[in-house]
Amino acid sequence: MATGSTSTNISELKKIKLTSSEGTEFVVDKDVGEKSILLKNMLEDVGENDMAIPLPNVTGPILTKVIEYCTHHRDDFFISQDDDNKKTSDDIDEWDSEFCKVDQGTLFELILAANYLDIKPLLDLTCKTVANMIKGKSPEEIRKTFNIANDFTPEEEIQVKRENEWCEER
Amino acid sequence: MNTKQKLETEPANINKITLPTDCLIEILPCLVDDKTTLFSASLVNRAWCRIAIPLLWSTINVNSNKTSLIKTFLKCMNDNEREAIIEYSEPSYPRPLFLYTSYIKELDWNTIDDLFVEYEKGNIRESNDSEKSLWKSILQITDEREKQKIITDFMVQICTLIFRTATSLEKFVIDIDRTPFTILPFAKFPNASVAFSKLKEVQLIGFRGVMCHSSLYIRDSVHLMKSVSSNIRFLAVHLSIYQYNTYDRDALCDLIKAQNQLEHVILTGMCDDHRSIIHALHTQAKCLACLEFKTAYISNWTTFLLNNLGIFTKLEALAFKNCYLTPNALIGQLTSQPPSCLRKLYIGNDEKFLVLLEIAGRNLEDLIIVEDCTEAAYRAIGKHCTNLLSLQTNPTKSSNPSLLEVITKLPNLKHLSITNLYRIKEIFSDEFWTELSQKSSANLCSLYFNCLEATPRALASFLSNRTKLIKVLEFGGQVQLTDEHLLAILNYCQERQVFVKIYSQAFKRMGEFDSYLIEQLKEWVRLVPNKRFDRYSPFMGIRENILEATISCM
Repeated sequence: MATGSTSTNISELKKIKLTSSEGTEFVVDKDVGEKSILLKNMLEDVGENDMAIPLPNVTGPILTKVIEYCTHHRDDFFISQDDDNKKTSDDIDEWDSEFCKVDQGTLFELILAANYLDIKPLLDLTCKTVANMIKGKSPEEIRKTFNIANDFTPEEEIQVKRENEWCEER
Repeated sequence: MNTKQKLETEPANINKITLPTDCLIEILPCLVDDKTTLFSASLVNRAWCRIAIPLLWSTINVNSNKTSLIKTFLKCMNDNEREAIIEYSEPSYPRPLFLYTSYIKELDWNTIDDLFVEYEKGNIRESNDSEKSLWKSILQITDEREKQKIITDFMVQICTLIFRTATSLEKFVIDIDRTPFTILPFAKFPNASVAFSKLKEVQLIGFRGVMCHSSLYIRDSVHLMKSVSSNIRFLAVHLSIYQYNTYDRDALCDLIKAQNQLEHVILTGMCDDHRSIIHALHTQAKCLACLEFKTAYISNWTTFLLNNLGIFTKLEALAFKNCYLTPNALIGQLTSQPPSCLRKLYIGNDEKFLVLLEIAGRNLEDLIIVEDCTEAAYRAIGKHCTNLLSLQTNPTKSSNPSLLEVITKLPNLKHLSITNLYRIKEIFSDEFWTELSQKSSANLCSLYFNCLEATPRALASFLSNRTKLIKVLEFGGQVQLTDEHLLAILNYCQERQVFVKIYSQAFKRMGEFDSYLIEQLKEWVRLVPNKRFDRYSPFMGIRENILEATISCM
C-alpha cells in the first residue's frame, strides 16, 4: 500500500520537456502537460522518455500562457464533450475572464494553440471570449473590431442580405 | 466567373483579416443560437459569409420576414419543384448564392406551417411589395378551398426541396395535428430515405391520428425511419388516447429496436395496450439514460417497467409527469432494485409513487414532485432521500410545515425550487423565510420561487443570515420584484462581493424600476434570459443536460 502511494507521488511529480517554435525549452509537470490531449497521446505512444517534444506551431509566449491555464486548471476534471454539444457564449469563470484579457493577436494565437494541442476547455474559453466580442455588433462594427476588409461586391452583399434577411430581428 | 462561383470557390485571403479563418470556424458556432449576430457575421466578408451561412441555416426559426424565407426557398428549388407552383408565383428567380437548404440540420415542420399561417388567415400586408409580388395570385383568390390548395402545393414543394437537399438532417419534429395530409406520408417524398439517414432526434407529436386515421399516413414514415435511421438518440412520441393508437405499435417497436444507442425517450399516452413498447425499450437497456412518461395511464405496464428497472443499467433520470392512476393500478411492492445510477426522479403527488422513493431514494440527487406534495411524500423524502442536492416541490398550506421539517434532513441540499401552483396565500410569508433560513442546509446556494410573499426586510434578513453565498435567485411565475426587493439583493451582492444570477422573468417591469438601482444592479447581477422551457421534457432537453441542468448554475 505504502509503495503504491509513493509510486503515485513520483509519477505526479514527473516532468516533461516541450520546445516552442523558437526552440525555447519548457519543463512542465506531466499532469499539467497531459491536459493537452495531443501531448497525452504522444506520451502514451512514446512511453517514458527524456526527449523534448517539439511544438513547431506554438511560440514561447503563447506556450507560457497555455501552461499558465493548464496549471491553474490542473485539478479540474476536463469532461470530454461531444462535438455535437452546442457551445454557448455565456458563463465565463472570473479567473478565466481575467486570463483572456490579452491583445487580440494573443487571443487568436491561443485559439490556434488550443486547437492544435487539443485542449478543449481552453479552446471553448477563447472562442467564447471572441464570440462575446462579436455579439450584437453590426457587420461594419465587426470589421472595425477585427480590422477586416470587406471583399464583397456591392451586388453580392445585397444578395446575401436579401437571401438571409428572414433571420433579422423584427 | 459569376458571383456565385466566386463566392463559393475563392479561397479566403488570410493576410487581409486579422482573425484567421481557422479561428473563425471554432468561434462562430458559439453564436449558433444568436441568429441576429450570425446574420451580421455573414455580411462581414466572403470568408465570414462561408462560415456563417451553414450555421445560420442549421435551424430555421422565423420571427419575421417569412416572405423572405419563402422566396429563398423558391430560389433553391430545382426546375421540377418550381414548375409545380410557378403559376402562383413570380415566374423567375435568380439562383441563390448558396444551396441554403442543404445546411438544415434541425427541421420542425411547424416552422414551415407557420410561414403560411398569415396567408391562410388573409393577413397579407397590402403595403408590402415583397409580399404582394410573391402572393399576387393568392391575393386575387377568394375561394378558401382553392387558396388552401395553393398553400398546400407550396408546402409540398418546400418539403420536396428540403428532403432532396438536406442531407445532414439530424432533428425532425412533426406535429400531426398541424401537418396537412398531403405532407404527412413523408415516406412518399423522393430522397426521404437519404434525409432520414442521419437523424439523431425524432419527435412525433400530436393526437389527430386517433380522429382521422392518419396513423396509416405516417406508419410508412416510421417504417422508413426504421430502415434507414439507426442512430436516433432522442425519441419523443405521442402514443394514444384511450384505446386508439396514433402510431402503429409494431412499427414503433421496430423503430426502437433498430437503434444503436437510444438515450432519451419520451412517451406520451402510455397505457396497457403499449406494453410491447416497454419490451422494445429493453433492447436499449444498456444505453437509455432518460425515460419519461407523460399523460400516461398508470397500470400493469408500470409495474412491469418498474419491476425490470434494474436492467436499464445507464438510467439516470425517470419521470412520470401528469400520469393518472387507473382504478386497478397497483404499483405495490417492487421486486427489483433500480439501477444505481438513477439520480433524478420526477413523480406526481400520488402516494402510490412513493414506493419509488423507498427503493431509489438513497442515490437520488434531484427530485421533482409536482402538483400538491402531501405530508406523506415529505415524510418519505426525509426518510429515504437524504442525499438530495436539488428538490423541486409544491407544498400546500397543510404540508408546508412538513416541507420545512424535511429540509432539516437534507444536509447536502444546494438547490430548492418551490412553486405555489394555486397561489395559496400566506404560505411563503416572512415566517416561512425565517424558518427556511434556520433549517436549510448550509450548502443551499440556489433558490427558485414562483411567488414572493416575503417583505424586502425578510428577504434581506434571509440573505444576510446565510453562511454560504447564494449564487442563483430565480423568481418566476407571478413574482414582481419591487425596488425595495432589488435593493435588498443589491446590498447583499455588494456586502458579500458576490455576483448573483437572476432569471429575467421577474424583470418584466425593468423600465419601471429606479434607473440608478438598475445601473447598480447591472454591475452585480447577471441577468439570465428565461430558461428555455422545453415543452416536451421536464429534464430541459437532451440527455447531456439531465444532470447538469440544475447543478451547473451553482
